[in-house]
Amino acid sequence: MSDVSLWDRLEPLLPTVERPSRYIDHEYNARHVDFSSDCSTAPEPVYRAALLYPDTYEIGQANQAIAILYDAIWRLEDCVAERVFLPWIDLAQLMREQGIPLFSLESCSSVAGFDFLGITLSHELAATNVLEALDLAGIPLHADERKGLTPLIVGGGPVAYNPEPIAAFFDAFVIGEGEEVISELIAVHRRCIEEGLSRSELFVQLAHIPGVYVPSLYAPDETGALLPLGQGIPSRISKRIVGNLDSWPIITDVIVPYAEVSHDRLTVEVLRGCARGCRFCQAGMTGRPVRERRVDTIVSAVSEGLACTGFDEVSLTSLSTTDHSRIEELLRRLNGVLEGTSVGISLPSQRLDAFGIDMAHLVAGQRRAGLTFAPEAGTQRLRDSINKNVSDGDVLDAVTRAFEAGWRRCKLYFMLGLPSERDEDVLGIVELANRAYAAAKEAVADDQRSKVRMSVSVSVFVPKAQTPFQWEGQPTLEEIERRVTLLRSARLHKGIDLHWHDPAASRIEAALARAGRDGSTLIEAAFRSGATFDAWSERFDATAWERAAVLAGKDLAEMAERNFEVNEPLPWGHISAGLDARWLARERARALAGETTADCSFADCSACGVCDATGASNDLAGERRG
Amino acid sequence: MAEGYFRLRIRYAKTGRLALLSHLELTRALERLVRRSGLPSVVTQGFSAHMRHAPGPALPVGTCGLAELFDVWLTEYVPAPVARIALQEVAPPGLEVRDVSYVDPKARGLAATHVVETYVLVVALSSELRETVRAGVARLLETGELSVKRKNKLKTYDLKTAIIQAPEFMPVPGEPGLYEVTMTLRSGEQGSIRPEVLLRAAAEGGEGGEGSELDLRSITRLTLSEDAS
Ligand code: SF4
Repeated sequence: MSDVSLWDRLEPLLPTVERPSRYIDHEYNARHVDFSSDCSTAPEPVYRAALLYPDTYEIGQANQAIAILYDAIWRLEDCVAERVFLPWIDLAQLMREQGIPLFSLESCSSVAGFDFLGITLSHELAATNVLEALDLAGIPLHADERKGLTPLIVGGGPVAYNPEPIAAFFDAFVIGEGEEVISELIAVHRRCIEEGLSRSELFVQLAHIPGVYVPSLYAPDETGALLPLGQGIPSRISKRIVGNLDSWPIITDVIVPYAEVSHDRLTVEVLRGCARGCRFCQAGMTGRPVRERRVDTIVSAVSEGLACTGFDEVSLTSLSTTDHSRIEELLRRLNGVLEGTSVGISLPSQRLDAFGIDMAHLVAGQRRAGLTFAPEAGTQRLRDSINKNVSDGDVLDAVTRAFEAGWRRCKLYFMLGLPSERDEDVLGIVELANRAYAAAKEAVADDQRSKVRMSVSVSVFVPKAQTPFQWEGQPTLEEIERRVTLLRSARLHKGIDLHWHDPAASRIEAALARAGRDGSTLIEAAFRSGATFDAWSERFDATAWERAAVLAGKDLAEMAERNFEVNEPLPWGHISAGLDARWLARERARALAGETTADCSFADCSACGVCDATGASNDLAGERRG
Repeated sequence: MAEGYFRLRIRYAKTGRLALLSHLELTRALERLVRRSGLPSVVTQGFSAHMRHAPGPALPVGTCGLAELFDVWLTEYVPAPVARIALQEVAPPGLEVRDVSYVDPKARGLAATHVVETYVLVVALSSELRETVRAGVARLLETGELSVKRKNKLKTYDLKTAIIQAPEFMPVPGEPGLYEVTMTLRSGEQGSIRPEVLLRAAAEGGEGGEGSELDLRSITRLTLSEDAS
């Protein structure tokens, strides 16, 4: 039987590994099939879907995509969904020694025995973990080595906007938001199983579902563009979205973890999409149009969610929560509802102006942890170029307001290596941080000055598919290192801590983010060279990737630094986030000219094409302010 | 603590997979359980508002407990049977709310009062090893002292006060070679001696030292009570 429990074999191993609670399931609100003890009647055929987040439980448990799909699948008739996470290296080693395959949490059964394996792909560095998962599961890594109709291996999430470097390992991808398409996909899969169709027949059927991409049905022409191999297979796969987000239920009976996980709280997604139009931001570009949930919907979801889970914190999530047109009314109402309880409200990121701070202040209560601001670039010129419509004055106002309101710690995020960056922009980071620090000191009373803490966090620009910067290469590693040295040698106030992200990891991210199909050989070689958990800085092993590049005959520098011509076919040219290619090119030209583009959620439409492509439009709960 | 609050003592069992929770994870799970139950818990004001509660003495990872304790302060009196049902209805699998009762809000903390613990350990013993362990236990009781090395520190327990009821061996019916070992221990100023540590020391012949490995199948704290003496 495919769903036989591995628990009896796993249990004796658990007391010997780190944090066993991440493997035990049985959390409140986890869903299980109610197996009756009476086995005399054969159970109905049940379709079993496994949902994998390719990282540890702590990282993946709170993932919203997994929670949404879990709920959506359980709502389908005769379908069950179970969660799968990667075991940490200590357990993985024991499992390999004892021949225990990758298991799901709920039934603790082998992942290879499921009908469906959905994999959430949040970032490029998860690629080797996908291979680790398949390998531990005993599933052949390559789609073309697999036989039969199950498990059907489907990827989704941000990385699917350029699926090519991992396409060899997947049967299909879902482009865009998954909650509606999942039921269509499962329905087609079930029907094909029932009808006894072949694997290739199944693939053709899947390719007809809007938003589903089946890589094996496409091959490159002489220019490198991927073209469909059969009649009726779409030449372009456009993203799916939920047009009316407000009517899609918010999941309130979410799983309450035992282990301490990241984002260990109730999350309520208040809006989707962001129309600010930052030119480096893939999430912003691909998430359009903006869809806000209504205040009533959000308030009742918060109350219900807290009652069903017992969490003591609720996070109002989105790409830019304080942009919600009725944010103030929402926060005031939530404050009223939560008065006298120990429940806190958190806003994941701060809008960089005084209004953003006022909103943060409204919900801070006694909690004044730290605030995070992302000016992204050090000078106005470069901020205009990336379309981050924030002035030095906004940053300083926000800092002043925050420290006046009682905060004592803040973190500033910047990027290094953005297209058109010059040395003065690098030095501008230091200058802006110093001014912010001075403003913070100025804003507090004399006896509080020593409590002011500020840190600057710098990451390296990674060009992403489906953005106006998709054609731009990353600067060379030597150049990045030179700019880091320049940054470090500039006179940053000694009270400010400076952190920077490992440029070597960012280079791998850049190499993968815009790679074509041949990128899969590099990923597989890296996995064979021992790379897994690459997103964990203490685990990231640049030399494993260097070795892999040699084995795969690839040049990491060339991949990361490659500049595409605007007219050249792109590896992800057949995948559409709904953005008009001409609009993207225009945005790139405007970036180079230092011109900004307004936010269409309160200013004019800039004709990005998303509304036409998706049939949806910005759906606001009120009027937005700029 | 302001006047007029009610201190509810929850006695619960955590079994099966929940044995693998750390004390911190278990405490957080209980807080969440109380919040889900809707009982009117007291919220302390201050830097970060939180529920006023006090967990009982901790169990190490891997140990079940059949009569664990958790105190929570309420702003209003809720009849104990009603409170028990409210809690049990929202309990996760493996956690059973056995009974609840009100105690004096000013009573001392659980770690200070509930120092008597009865354990049952299921262990596989060859007849030879069983005799060694039995003899080791007798020798330990005679010596009256046990020094245990933990994290490079030597801790010495006075066994005359630490052992209330010496380990008793009962064969598990139908499972040849398996024994249920029951003992009652008292925790003191220097903490409590772990039952498996005592058993391992006995298996060494009661001479002290690192203690030998035993094939332990499970450890359960059966009761947790106040010191009658
Ligand atoms: S088409 Fe216009 S209104 Fe719609 S998201 Fe794009 S810029 Fe905004």
